[in-house]
Amino acid sequence: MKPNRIVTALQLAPASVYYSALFGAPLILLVVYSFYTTENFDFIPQFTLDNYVTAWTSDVYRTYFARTLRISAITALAIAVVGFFYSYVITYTLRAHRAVLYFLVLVSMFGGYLVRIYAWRSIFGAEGIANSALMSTGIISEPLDLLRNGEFAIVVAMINFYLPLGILPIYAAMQNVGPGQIEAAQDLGSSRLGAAGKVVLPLALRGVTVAFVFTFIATAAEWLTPQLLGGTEDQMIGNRIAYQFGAGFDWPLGSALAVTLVVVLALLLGAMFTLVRRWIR
Amino acid sequence: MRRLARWRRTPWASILYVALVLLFLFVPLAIVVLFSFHASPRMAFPFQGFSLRWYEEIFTDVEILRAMGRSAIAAVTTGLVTAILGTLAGLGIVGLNARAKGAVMFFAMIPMSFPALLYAIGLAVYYRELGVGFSLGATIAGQIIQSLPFVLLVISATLDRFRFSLIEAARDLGAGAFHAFRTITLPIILPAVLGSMLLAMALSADEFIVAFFTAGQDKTLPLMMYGRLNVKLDPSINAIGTVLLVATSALAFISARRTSKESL
Amino acid sequence: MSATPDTASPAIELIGIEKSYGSAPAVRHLDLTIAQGEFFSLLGPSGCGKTTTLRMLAGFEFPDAGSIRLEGRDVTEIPAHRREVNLVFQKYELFPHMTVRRNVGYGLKVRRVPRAEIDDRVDEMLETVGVTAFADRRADQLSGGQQQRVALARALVNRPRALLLDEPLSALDVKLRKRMQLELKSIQERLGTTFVYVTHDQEEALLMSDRIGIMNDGRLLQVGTPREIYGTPADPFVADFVGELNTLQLDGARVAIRPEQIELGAVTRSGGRRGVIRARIYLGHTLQYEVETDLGVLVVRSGAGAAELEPGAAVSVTWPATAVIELGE
Repeated sequence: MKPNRIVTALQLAPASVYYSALFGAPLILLVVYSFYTTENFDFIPQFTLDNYVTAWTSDVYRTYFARTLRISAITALAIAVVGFFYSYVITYTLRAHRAVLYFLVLVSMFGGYLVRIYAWRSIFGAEGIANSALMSTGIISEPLDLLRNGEFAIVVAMINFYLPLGILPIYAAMQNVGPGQIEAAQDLGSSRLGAAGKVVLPLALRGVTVAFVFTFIATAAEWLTPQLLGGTEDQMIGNRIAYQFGAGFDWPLGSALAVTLVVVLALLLGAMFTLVRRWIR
Repeated sequence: MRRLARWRRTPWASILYVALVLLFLFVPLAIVVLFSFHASPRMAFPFQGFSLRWYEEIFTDVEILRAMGRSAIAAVTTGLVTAILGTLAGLGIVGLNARAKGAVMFFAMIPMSFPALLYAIGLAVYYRELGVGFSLGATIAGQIIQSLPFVLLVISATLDRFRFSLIEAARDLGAGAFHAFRTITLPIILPAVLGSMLLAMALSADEFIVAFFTAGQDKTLPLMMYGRLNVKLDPSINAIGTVLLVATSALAFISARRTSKESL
Repeated sequence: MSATPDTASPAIELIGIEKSYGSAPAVRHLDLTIAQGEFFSLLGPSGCGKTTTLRMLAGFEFPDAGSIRLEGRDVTEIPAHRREVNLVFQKYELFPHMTVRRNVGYGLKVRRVPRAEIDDRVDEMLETVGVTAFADRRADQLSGGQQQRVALARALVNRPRALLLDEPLSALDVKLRKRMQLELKSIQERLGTTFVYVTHDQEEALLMSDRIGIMNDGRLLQVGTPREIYGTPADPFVADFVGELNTLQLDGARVAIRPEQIELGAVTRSGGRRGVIRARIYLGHTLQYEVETDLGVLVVRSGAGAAELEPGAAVSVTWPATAVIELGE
């Protein structure tokens, strides 16, 4: 019984209108704004490419972009790896408990963003819980640099926040590969690890890719985590964008930086995809 | 005949790995909750006694109570609107052929993978150009977009499993289209709709980035928390955080229970 | 137990094997010896422990007590991936993202056999099982029968000390199954590999095996050649499981007689018992009768060539003395 076209259109209309008005339009306007000029704390529609010139050629911003991409890549990779092994273990090795172990991961997601960052802030730092615990048990006598606010702290906190989101697609993809496949590989001589790499990974690759890409994109635009957990040397491009929309009050520049980020991410991911596809063949 | 040790069969490495990962995921939350009950303002070990003083502080602070109220309003509104829009859209998607459906779902999911910061600043620009001031309403409008993909996912998964032959049976018995929808479809998908509504509420309650750029003076609870974070090391933050944690977890938990409860 | 095979070192020995899952015993004290080059079947109903036993042989489960020997060598502690046996899975478990060729060569590649040798051995084995035409097709694009052959090839190409087969034909339709039964038997005879075959289909076991081991409720009830199992079952369960039976009280003892060994003759014939035909069923290759006698209702089978008897007719029922199987208790 095919529902008729008019009814379908009417059902899809409200959401579509809403998406266009509250998602599509703002983003289009963002791109438009990136070409505006700033004059006397006002943004005027005088078309200029200055913002983009600054975004692409300024040394300062280049450093920010490079640092951001590096941090994001590390985080995304770590999540893909940790997430893959976690999904593997609960899907096959501890199969009987996989529902609970998956649910626990989901539950941890709803701790919230701010709460976590605050917790990590109190863990890291010269006087933070990590350093003080290590010092009080006598393992170290001075606060460790690694455990102070900085790139390491940012990466750890981001992994902590995005890991459940990474496990979701990997686990889902892995459910299509039955445990019989692992046994068959083992019967033929592969160790568990070998079976994971040769049999499970290729079949769950789609999920792993989704996890990597999603995490990469999300962390590239991170701003709160580096602000609260990074030192002055470790700020990411998200911070600069937020600044322009805050105290910096240069919205057109901020918009241009945002658009640039999207373009850079698209190019990078596109390049990675073609490379990986070629390598798989 | 020998007894073979069972302990050698146990996958110790795997168990350890899973335990470590779960510990990693939950420890920060545990710390916040723990120190929300700390008698002293220091957030360090050794632990110096339990106390509810921070909770007293936040529940008697007018500003915080107002913020809680705003967060609640935002959550409920977001939940309701998203549920309605999402259910309608989900029903519409059912009628599409595979290709159209794929395309629609693809576009519908974009806000999920689009960085929140970039969306938030887009909204800021948008509101400014439209002359719409920053307010709770402005924030709610943005949070709805952020929740819609999740709601759509749940609803379309539910409708995929829905047996439309039941509707045919109802029509055969003389029910009109809307009547069939009201008496058959709706009751059956209601758990999923409610579940995804709770999910949207949980997402909204915890949402920070869009609120930061569009709420203006109408600070929600996460914004209050952020404000105090930046000022000084304020231990009441742990209490606020725990309240947020409990609220969103409860919503999410109930949501999950409802969505997995399949009727027919 | 019946005659032990006479080869020097048995291919497989299971000594005192026990296995329980929690408080439920799956295999209770099993002793079994399988000879080199034998086609041995483990036969029994679902849940009898035959699959558990097979998996213990493969190395996917470990016995709670007892030991397993492969050609004299104790392998009880050795995990599946280092044991020199291979398993043909009930669901085949071919790797869907690999071609037939890569699937079959997988085990050789893992063991780092030189590339040229892998190619040769794979080609040879593809030829043996008859799938050369599909060598470069992806495994998930094959039919059930083709997948089954590839699974066989993938296991055999490694020249295992024993090949284990877990109800490999159960997913195939009847005609294909019968064809594969003969092919499997022929491959086994040609290669001389020891086969351990698990099935719940007694006809299949009787057809293919050199010896059969009947299991029920975790115990090995009887081991023998098909003739021995069928003709001299060691206990009522075996007698009932393999082939059809009529159980009756005769001269104070409980006995069983096979339907095909009962003869129906003219009622005027002397020496037989009197019976009345209650029903006649046409099975294609045989006729089956239900005959009421003073001993109860007997099921009788006769070849389709024999004269058909009408329901309601009176007949004389006889059987040779050798057909009577003692059932003891």
